[in-house]
Amino acid sequence: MAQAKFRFSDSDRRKMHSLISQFFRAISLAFHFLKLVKIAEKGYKTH
Amino acid sequence: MAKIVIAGSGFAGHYAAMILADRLKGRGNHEITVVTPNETFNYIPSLIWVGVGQMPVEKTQFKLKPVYDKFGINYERAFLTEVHPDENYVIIESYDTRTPKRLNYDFLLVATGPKLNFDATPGLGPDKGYTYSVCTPPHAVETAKAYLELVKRLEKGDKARIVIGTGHGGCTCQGAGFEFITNVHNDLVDRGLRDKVELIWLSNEPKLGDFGIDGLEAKRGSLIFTAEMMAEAIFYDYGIKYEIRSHVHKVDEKKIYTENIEGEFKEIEYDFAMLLPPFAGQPIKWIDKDGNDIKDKVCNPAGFVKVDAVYGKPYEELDGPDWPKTYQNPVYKNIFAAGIAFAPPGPLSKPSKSPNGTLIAPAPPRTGYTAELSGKAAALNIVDMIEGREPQNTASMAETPGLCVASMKNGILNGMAGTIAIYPVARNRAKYPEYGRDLDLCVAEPGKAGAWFKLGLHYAFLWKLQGKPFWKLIP
Repeated sequence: MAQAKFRFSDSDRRKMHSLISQFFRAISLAFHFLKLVKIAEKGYKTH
Repeated sequence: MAKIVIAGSGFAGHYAAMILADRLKGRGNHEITVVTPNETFNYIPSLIWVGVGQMPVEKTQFKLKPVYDKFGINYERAFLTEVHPDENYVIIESYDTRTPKRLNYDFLLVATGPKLNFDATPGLGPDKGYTYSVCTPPHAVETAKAYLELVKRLEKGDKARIVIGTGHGGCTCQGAGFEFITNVHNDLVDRGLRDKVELIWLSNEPKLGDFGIDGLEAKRGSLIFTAEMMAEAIFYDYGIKYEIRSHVHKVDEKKIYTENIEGEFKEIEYDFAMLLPPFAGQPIKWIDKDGNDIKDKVCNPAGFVKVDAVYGKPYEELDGPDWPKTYQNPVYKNIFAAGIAFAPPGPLSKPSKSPNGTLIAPAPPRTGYTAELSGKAAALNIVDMIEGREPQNTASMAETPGLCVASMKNGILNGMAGTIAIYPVARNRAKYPEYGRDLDLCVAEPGKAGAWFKLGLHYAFLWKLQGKPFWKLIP
């Protein structure tokens, strides 16, 4: 049975669990998702 | 007037039916019929929470008929059993009475999803075997029941080994297994029972965090952060051990018999196992005008429908331009296939063989958002053909992103999920020579934000797919 090697740092863990940090990350990721959705829809020509 | 038959009511088929009804409204008296054995749309991504007993299954479903009535779509609760592409008709069998019926079509979209091929591994699956699954609503409900019974035994002081992952070397959708094992971990932590359980991840992935998409890399400042690092760190924090690069030969009441890529045979004892099955095409007969079986001409050996991909290339030579764009069958131009039902040109993850010749090759996932994109492209291409144009709408997996949120724990304040964005899904080295992907657009990060997205997507998709007000604004 293998054991994982890579570890999160304490700072990574703090960020993951911080409501404030994650609130701003959520906004940023939402815009990122919308950007990707726009790219996905570039292939649609029929309206 | 055009008759369009859509087989399937999942992300690809259901969304394609909505798009077609919307785009063809007021543009002629066209007839759209959805053939599906399902009475409800099932939001499969949330079945993870059903499987750990945290969400009632009804919250992941809605009835199809009222939606189709609203959109003017005919609804046949039936199985698609035969396609006669030379004569443009299908045979369907009623879900209730198994009475056969002929349906003529001008255009056919096959979006049936997969057949869950539990038979590929003896002892796999809840129906004929010993393991559980979260692939369908009844499976997830049964899994929750068995899991909660195990929890009761743990509360009485028992100890247990739980094995979660894939039940065959050719499985896909490892992400669903990853979500289930991390949700089980967090559920056991919340119940104060985690120390009584040994959690094992068993998978056919060539590396952790592969997810059947050949993993992913994302820029994190000046560093490259990979899904493998994310999965490793999570498994370390959660105390999850793992066996990867493994095929499952059989399962019995007590043990899972595996073989890894080095050719080592192992026996893993278990008390509870949720192992995903490999997928195959639905058992549909394809018959020409002389009554001959032409399945080989239309489908790949696994039974998935061939579309406009470049088939037959070895893994090393396969690249972005080989992935299908319009989802049109090359032989029968009025037939399209989308979602899991289309035949991919090859795997995304590197296939391998053990020294004993056992193939361990994760199949490419094409579910959820990717299924929806292909369903929409196929629907718009049918509109093109009805209006006398060549299909011009594309949604190649080598040109579109994959958006995936892997839940690890449901909850607003204490939830956790891995947010994963890849662009494009299929590596496209013709366009991005170094990695095959644009790393500036790729994301792999765990956090509460992902949990909020996961919950938001659950409600947004169910809203959109019921055609509720402003549904067209939801991507």
